[in-house]
Amino acid sequence: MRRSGDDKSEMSTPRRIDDRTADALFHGDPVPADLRPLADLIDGIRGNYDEWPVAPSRELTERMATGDFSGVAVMPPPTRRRGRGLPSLISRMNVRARVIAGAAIVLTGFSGVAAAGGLPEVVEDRVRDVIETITPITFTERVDSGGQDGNAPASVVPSRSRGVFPGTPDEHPGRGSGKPDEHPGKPDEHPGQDSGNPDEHPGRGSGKPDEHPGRGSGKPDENPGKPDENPGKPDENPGKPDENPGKPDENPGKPDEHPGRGSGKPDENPGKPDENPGKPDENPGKPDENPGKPDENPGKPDENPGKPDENPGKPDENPGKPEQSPGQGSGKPEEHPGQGSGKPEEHPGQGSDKPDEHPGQGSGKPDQPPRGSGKADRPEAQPNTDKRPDHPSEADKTARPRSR
Amino acid sequence: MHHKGRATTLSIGDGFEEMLLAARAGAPWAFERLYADLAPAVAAYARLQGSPEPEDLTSEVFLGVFAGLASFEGTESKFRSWVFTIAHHRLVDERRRLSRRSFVPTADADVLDRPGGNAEQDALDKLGRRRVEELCAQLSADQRAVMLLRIVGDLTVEQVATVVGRSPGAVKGLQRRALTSLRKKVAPEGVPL
Repeated sequence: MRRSGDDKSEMSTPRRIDDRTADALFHGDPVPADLRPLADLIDGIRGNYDEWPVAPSRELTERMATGDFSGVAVMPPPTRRRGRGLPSLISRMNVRARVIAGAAIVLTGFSGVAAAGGLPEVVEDRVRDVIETITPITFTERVDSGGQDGNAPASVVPSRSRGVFPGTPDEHPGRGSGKPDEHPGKPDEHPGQDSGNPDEHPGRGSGKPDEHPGRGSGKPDENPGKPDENPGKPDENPGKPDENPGKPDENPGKPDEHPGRGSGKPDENPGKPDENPGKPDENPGKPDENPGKPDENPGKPDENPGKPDENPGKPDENPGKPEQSPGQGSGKPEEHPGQGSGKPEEHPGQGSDKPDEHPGQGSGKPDQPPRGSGKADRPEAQPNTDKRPDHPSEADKTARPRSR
Repeated sequence: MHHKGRATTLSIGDGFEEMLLAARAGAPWAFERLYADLAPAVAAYARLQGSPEPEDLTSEVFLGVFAGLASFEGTESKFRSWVFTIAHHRLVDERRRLSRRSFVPTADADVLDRPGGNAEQDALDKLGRRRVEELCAQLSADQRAVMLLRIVGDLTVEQVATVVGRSPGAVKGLQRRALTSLRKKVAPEGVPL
């Protein structure tokens, strides 16, 4: 029969050293027997070392003799700890973390430079493409390749052309001309609307581009090629330019290139002009409905008086279209009547610069952009481009979502 | 049970203030007295802390102590704590300069060849010293510092906390763990002291 006291392991269970016991050990007070070896060790430390004579150094001896301790520091100078700055942080990173951090820095740097337009156009395009692909960022001032038309590569469509000629919508097709202020014509406000109030919505070309932004700009995207299919429509309504003599004058040559596209709402129903080429004829009067617009911006013709002379015959070809996209065709209504930007195809309703691509859309009645606009667009398109500057924000809004 | 009692005591006593004033005035005798009273403990602390040159370190400590006497005010106990604070900082600085040189028990000739009348006792002392140094070397730096300041420096928990820059609770924990560790090592075999 075992008793609790017989268990050796139980007997050997060490007593826990508490603070009281520790103080007793350090002060040399009596301690339990099981702590005696430890107490002996502490006494040995104290007894063997505490009485050890230590000879002072020569310097200390001399100074103690003279009592001069000047120039001696009481405490050692604090040693500097390891750097906590960026270098030390990097040095503590492993290779993988360094590579990731470096890649992130480079990507961020390129993004910033590209956004600032500091890179060559070709490089900028690529960088922007990459960024837009891998991030939700969309560059509103995207330098697209004039590729659709095949006219000019992206690099050829520099943003520099913005304010100079509203018709240089290549950079920002949806926005119309870059510097609306330079071309104050009211037709910009409602370019798409039968040219009646082209000033209110210059870039859109159609009568109510704002209410239905998707029409003007969006449709062109959906059917970008259609305008090209019916390039000849502008020729069908040559007389409208005559109604709005001033606009055709601004961009006389372009109407010839893309006669059908000139209307402000080519985006909404870009293909319609092609489908219903005759509509412009159906609503030939739209231009007439807003005959005054050309009058409202009589000065524009003056701005580009020579152009009409250069391509006098084109306005005659698409007389009705000027109404369709009066606001667009400002600088080069012929090339991109509806958008006013360099890439009317992408955003026909907005830029109006390439009215030719979407002739039917930019009808004189913005509310019914595709139909009546077709022919009247061109003449009106020019005034619209001028107006876009007046309402750049609207044009921007419409252009941005589509640009991508 | 053989207790030698507290070997480290306040030896100066009531005459401390007078001695301190004399030392501030540059009296050589005051310096010598202060040095003789505390230098052995400081040297022991430095040696058991693994200082390669404990005597040199002790001299540096007292150079700083005497240079800073003008700014010190307090009792003898406080003076003792202040001296060990300087000693501790000197040790830390020396370790950093030596790139954390590993602790090597300084069982050198100076320590072992301490003059003594009894050869047998001297041999036991040598053996005991070496063993003590080995045991101290097995403690962590913090545990060792706390243990030595409590034993050699004869400092209170609060004073030790001030010297090492820890809280009193942390010091208590460190000394408890240090004693437990030493107890496990000493109990089975005993310490030949």
